[in-house]
Amino acid sequence: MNQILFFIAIALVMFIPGYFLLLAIFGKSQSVGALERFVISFGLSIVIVDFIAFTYSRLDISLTRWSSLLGALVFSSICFGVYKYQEATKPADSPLESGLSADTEKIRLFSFSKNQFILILLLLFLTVFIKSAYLSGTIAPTSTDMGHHMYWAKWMADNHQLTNYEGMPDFIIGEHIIFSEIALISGASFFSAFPPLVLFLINLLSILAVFILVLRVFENKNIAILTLLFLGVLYAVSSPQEKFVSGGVIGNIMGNFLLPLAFYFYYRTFDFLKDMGDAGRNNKMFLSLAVFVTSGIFFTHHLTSFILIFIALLLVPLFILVNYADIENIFKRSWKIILSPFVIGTLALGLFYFFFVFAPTYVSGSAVDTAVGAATKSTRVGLSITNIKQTVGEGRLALGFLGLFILLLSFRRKNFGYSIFAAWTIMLFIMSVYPNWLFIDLPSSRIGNYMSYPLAILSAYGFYSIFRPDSCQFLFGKVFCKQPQNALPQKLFKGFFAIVFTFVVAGGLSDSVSAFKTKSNSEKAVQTFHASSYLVPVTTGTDVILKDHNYLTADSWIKLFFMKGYKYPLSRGLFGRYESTGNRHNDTCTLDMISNPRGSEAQKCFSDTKTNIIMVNPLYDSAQFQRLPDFNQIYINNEVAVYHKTK
Amino acid sequence: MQQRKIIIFLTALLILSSLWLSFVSQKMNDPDYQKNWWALYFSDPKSDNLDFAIENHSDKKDFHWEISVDRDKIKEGDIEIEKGKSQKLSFEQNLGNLENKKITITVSASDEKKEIYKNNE
Repeated sequence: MNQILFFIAIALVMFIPGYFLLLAIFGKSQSVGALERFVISFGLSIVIVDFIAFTYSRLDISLTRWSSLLGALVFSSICFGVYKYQEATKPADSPLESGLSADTEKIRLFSFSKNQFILILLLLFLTVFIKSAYLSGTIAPTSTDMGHHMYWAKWMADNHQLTNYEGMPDFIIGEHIIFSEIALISGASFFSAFPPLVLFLINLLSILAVFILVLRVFENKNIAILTLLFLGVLYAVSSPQEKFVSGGVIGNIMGNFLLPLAFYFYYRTFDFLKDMGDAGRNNKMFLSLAVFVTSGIFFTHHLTSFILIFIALLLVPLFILVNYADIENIFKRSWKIILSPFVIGTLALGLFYFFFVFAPTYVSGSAVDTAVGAATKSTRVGLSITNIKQTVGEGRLALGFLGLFILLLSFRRKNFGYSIFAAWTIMLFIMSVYPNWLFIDLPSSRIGNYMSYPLAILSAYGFYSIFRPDSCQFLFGKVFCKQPQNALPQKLFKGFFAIVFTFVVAGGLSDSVSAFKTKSNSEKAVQTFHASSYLVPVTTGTDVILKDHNYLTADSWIKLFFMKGYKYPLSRGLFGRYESTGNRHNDTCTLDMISNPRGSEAQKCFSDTKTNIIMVNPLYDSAQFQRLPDFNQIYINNEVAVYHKTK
Repeated sequence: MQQRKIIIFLTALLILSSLWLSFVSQKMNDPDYQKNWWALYFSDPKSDNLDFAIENHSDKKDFHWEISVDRDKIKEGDIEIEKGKSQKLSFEQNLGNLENKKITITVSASDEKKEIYKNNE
């Protein structure tokens, strides 16, 4: 029953609103294929549900099971009504209905040969299998980030309203709304498998979003299928894939889905430029959806938004530059789309919600100051090539850059997708390796993690370019290939790349194997949760708990038992944070009260903070309390000891 | 048609995977399943009350408990607790004058020993 409710909640929150929005916009037109509709519906739903929640917040409507259900259903019904109205008023010979439109040609994109079809199913199976196998060892609620995020999702579900995150700019509302609504509708516990399962679904959808984007841009099924291999099957576990899913890196997982989806819509907007045809209604609609998804990104993850802005700063000039000769013509055709009421309306809606309905917490001077400026910390001055290799995989990095090189050589300047892929890769590379060039002051590794997506695409493109039937002409020109003495070098070249490919596949799969955990730490986590459950009924509003983050498993989840604020219980953070360069060097109370409770600093801290209950690992932090007469040891299991300060 | 087959195949995979992972998660959150630990705690940690509980999630069944005042053992006993069960021990009878003394509850099972205490000052 719980599972059925969970699936219903997933459908209502993450699929149905988007599906009906697409139906209202495109009807049953073949301009968006069934697989595309499936993938896009999820992305649109995530954004739609956010906007519904913002509206509720503005109108003081509580976020409950029924209001969540009603919001999704009313929105879907309105869209269905629009679809029905359009159907009733549409001329009988409408190209959307007749199936004879220019899009008919594109439908063939999704018509695969038997071998291709089997290969797609096999790759999808392997992707899901490898990721599920990894998650089966890490599905327990132990990750620190997931604990922090689920606190806010639970807070919203418990309090039936959106949160202001106690003023903290690190969290963004779009990361948590879907989790709150799924919990409200299904009744699922935040300690169950549902949070990682939702992220798992989004991660798979991000791979499919890339698949449909590649299929549209290159109009080549083999490259799209190879992308499934390079992004789905190889390096299926390492960051930013399943390790981020089990680790609860929500913003990154959602960003990696919404970013390619936005690129997909932007590409479809300008795909008419390929043959310099005229833009139609669909192009305007695609741009509206692109703007809508982009605003969704701004409500979901600041880093992804930041990256999107920088990619756009390269993409637009690049596209203008390579099309300089035709730029007047291109602008003339594009303005009709950009200035259409649909697009302007969507943009105005996004801006209105952003500034007047529910501004994300990162919209503050301090947040911008944190991200922009000369890098000061060693973790922000840029990654080395070795770091990038570790992040995206050695083989994928090599093949990806080969793909980029071939893409630039064979650049189709009027194909907006080529510019997207080039700008996406080059900008991420600069941002993560040379952040000082752009005055970016963010952890370089976090940006570097984004590179695996465009590099997987370019790996597929590079690999296909070498092994395509006409690769010799494609790579070296007709003259070279016609000379018989060059036949052997060609074969050697392909043989060499076959060996390279074998290494890439072996490397990508072994990366997943090495990432598998040998032992789950759920036994430790349940003991932390048991100690927390013990404390809930025996503590009151006057008690202040301090727990340790260094040696307690799943300690970030403890706050979900109390729900007394994000910073309750107090926490002794990682030791490095109290050093002179750490962010806690000015406030060492939480360190002193556990590490040296007898000291004068600790005594003052106990008095100032009213801390009277301590949760620590008995193996590391018991001796200092056992010597003190004003501490009672009131609870113990293998992983947690609880002390009560009596005076 | 092929697209629909891909969607159905993927949906079926996701449902199966979700069911499997939910099952695994349930087992991981189960304090008893393939786990071996036990806990000892005071029922009322803030008062002078010495009632305590042993909660067993280990394969051990036989527990031995002792109450000591300062270092003198004043009471002891054995108790059998099945895996997944807990047992509360109450002390309504007079244990003597415990003022300004440290009362320690020590519980052992096989070679494993845990203790909790209150400083009655």
